[in-house]
Amino acid sequence: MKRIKKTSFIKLALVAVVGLLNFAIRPTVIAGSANAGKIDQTKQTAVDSSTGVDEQALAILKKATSYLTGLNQFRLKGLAAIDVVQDSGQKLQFGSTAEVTVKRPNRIYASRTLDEGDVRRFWYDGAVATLYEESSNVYTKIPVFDTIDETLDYLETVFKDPRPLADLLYNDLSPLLKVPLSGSYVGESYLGVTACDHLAFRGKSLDWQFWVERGEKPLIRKVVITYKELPGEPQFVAHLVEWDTQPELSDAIFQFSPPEGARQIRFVTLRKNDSEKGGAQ
Amino acid sequence: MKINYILKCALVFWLMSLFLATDMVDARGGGGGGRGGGGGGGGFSRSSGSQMGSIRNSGMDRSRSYDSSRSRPERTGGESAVGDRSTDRFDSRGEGIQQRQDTSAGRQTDRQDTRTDRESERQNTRTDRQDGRTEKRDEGQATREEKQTERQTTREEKQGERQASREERQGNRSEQRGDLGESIKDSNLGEYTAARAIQEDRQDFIGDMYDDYYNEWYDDHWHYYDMHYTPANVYVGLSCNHVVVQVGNVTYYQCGSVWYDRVYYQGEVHYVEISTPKGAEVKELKDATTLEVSGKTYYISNHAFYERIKREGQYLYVVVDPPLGTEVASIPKDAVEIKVEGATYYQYDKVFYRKAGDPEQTTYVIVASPF
Repeated sequence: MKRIKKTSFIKLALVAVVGLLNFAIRPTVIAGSANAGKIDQTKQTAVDSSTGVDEQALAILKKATSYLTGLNQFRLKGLAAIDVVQDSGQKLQFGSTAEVTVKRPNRIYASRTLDEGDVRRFWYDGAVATLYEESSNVYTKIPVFDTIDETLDYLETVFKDPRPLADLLYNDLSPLLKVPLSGSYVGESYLGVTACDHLAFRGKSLDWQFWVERGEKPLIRKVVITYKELPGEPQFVAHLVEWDTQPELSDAIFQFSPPEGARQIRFVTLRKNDSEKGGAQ
Repeated sequence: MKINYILKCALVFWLMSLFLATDMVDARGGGGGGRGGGGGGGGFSRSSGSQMGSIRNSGMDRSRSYDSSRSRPERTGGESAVGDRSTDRFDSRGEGIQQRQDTSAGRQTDRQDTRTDRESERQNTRTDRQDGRTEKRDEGQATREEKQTERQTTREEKQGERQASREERQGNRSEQRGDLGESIKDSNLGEYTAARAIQEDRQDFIGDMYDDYYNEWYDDHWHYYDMHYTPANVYVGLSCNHVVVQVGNVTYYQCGSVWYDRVYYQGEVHYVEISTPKGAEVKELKDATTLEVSGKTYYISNHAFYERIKREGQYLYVVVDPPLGTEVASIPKDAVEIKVEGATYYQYDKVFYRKAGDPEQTTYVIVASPF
């Protein structure tokens, strides 16, 4: 009887120890998989008191933005996806491929092919912004500012034509260092074979993540923006698969010449109380 | 005893499973699962709208919109908008961007001064521009210069109004920031809260700056394009059973008796309801009323004015511009009420109406564009 009791006690103790060990080990396992989800808190470095951002993350972001603003001209190709939350609450993702050419301080040409096949183009020649939609063969022209920064801000704020990826096209990227309320260095992350530093930032109305290539060219290789104040918290994701930091450019590519049969249409802005409808009945 | 042992084992495993289950939830942390199915059916929206903007402007109130009902600079006579386009280039306003980069904590108290400085700088710049324009247009256009002066005066007045409005907003914000400052001192939220306050302050600043941009741009350029074109509704697509109609070399869309045209809105092609386009032809008109104006007979149907012509032995009805001064009993239901210099107009596409008649029987008079 005593023998049995002792054995059972040992067995129980063994089970308990295994259980406790298992419990103790789990957080480590979770932390080990941090790259897939949680930020590894144990690796956090000091936080910059003026910005609330992890110093390592801030340093990498600063390096990436400085490098980018140092380029007089560049061309990038990317694959983007954007969530569109339907009235039903269902979230659908739509993709596009984009090619953007920038010549600082006041030239942009962008072409975007949507997954539905339509092609939209944008020209900015330092004076006028032109939007062209290939399937409809229509375009509109808007007189704008004479720098990229003012023009992009203007299009976003006045004409309500935001471009999430526009953040990378500005001449001055320093606001990106000032916008975060907090920021973290998530860890090393491979995009295909490209080793990157994964950074995560939190803002007032959106959170965002950058993947910055390691090495001499700290190019931003991936962007994820989460619009956390919008219904369904839609995301914008862009993989910047190709950067040409020394493209040969002529001013002609920034000039719009209407294709045959293209029609110029008006742009409109609505008054405060006006509404946008889903479809005419 | 054996039962006791089994029970103890079960208890231990149950406790362990509880821990494990809790861990599983944590491991998913923040993941939140996807939203449940939901409707579907019919067309899906592909437009993300204007809310998904840049990171740098993420603190802005994206619902900000220009109130086009406010009074506008008067524009009459034969001043050519096209002529203005070549000379009135959109000047750089780099000072705003430079200012924006200054986000030091001390800026909060200096903001009002900065803004006032900016205002006066802008005022000077504008006066310089004004001078430049006058020189360029020194072609004996005295009336034009007068109008420029009038516009300048209007702008100055508006700037005064905007300045006052900003001061008021600034005052409110300063109070709020003051309160926040006190609470920061008292709390241990510390730097995060302080940083957030600075951030919000910067966002207010950006918002104000673009209000200025918008207002100034509008004052200077409102007549360049059809900014004054205020449709009642903008449609993402046409879900009605529409037909495509070519009038001249322009493509329109027609659902029953309602016509639509394409416009750019928020960076994408949308549709707006328009009046029947000039030049559109029909072989017959149902329920048309006739009207004699200056010896000419007009046929009115669905608020559009037609003239009858004969081509190849057949009568046709062709849409023409409505004669100004014509009194009509009603206006299209989607006409938009607008105010220009204190006067109320009703706009339906390119046609403007003013109320007439007595209160018991309202009628409307077709008038020239007030813009």
